[in-house]
Amino acid sequence: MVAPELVRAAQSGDREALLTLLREIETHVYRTAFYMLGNEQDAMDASQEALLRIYTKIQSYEEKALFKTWVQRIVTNICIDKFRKAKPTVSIDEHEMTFIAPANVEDEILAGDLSQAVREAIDRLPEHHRSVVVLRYLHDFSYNEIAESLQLPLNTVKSYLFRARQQLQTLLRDYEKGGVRG
Amino acid sequence: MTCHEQVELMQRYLDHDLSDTEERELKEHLVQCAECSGLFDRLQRLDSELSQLPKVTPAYSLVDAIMPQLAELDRCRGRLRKRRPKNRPQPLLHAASLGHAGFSPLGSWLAALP
Ligand SMILES: [Zn+2]
Repeated sequence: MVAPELVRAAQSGDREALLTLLREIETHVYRTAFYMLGNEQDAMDASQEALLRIYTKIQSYEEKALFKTWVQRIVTNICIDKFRKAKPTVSIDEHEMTFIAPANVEDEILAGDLSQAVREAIDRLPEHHRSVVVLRYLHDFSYNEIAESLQLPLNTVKSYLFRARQQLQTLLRDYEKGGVRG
Repeated sequence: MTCHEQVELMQRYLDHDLSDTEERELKEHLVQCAECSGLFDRLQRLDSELSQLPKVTPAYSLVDAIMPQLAELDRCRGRLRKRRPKNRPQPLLHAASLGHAGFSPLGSWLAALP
């Protein structure tokens, strides 16, 4: 948790304070990018971009929002932009949100590596559902903090989180059953 | 209450969002409904898997990596500040184009400068 005094010092133009602040948040920024983008290289690029943006936009942060939700808003926006650029033609209709499970999800479960399988499954979630899961489980954010970060209504946050968990458990159940993909 | 409504309670249970009354109601239903009880077990297992996802850290310091770009930004901003009258907003800080920076944000920002 970044101290409010440090944020204020950084905003007042204290460059050392701003650098200290960036060092305190870099791991949190990277963690989000890693789970949003699914690989280390893209996560490094996106996190660096987020830190640069925070460096230049620190003045625009207002204390009515929590600093950590402001930071996560910046990094999730960058990741969602990259996600769209990487897969411009993919658009998943909310009502037909189905998983096209990659072959390795099955392999991971057969190999008993459920944690890896969960990660593969998260990679298949639509971007907003994935952001909600990442903020909830990698950052322990509350519904309200997630809503503030993603600028979504509270009910939308709940509905994304519930639907994401429903989909993840379905996928994992099907493969644990030794299910053959249909 | 229908099974469908119980599913919402299960979901909220995972987020510690249930009142005592709601929690009691859910537990009572689970005792009598094998289907919901199976789903609840799977959701709890998933919740625990998600909570144990590795807390990954960057391979090297990201701030160290962007130091050269930060110095360059400072130089550009110094240049802007000298040229602009006081008390005017600095366009670099709030430029709308920041929202759509690509993989090499610094390059595009610098290119956009006068
Ligand atoms: Zn039931």
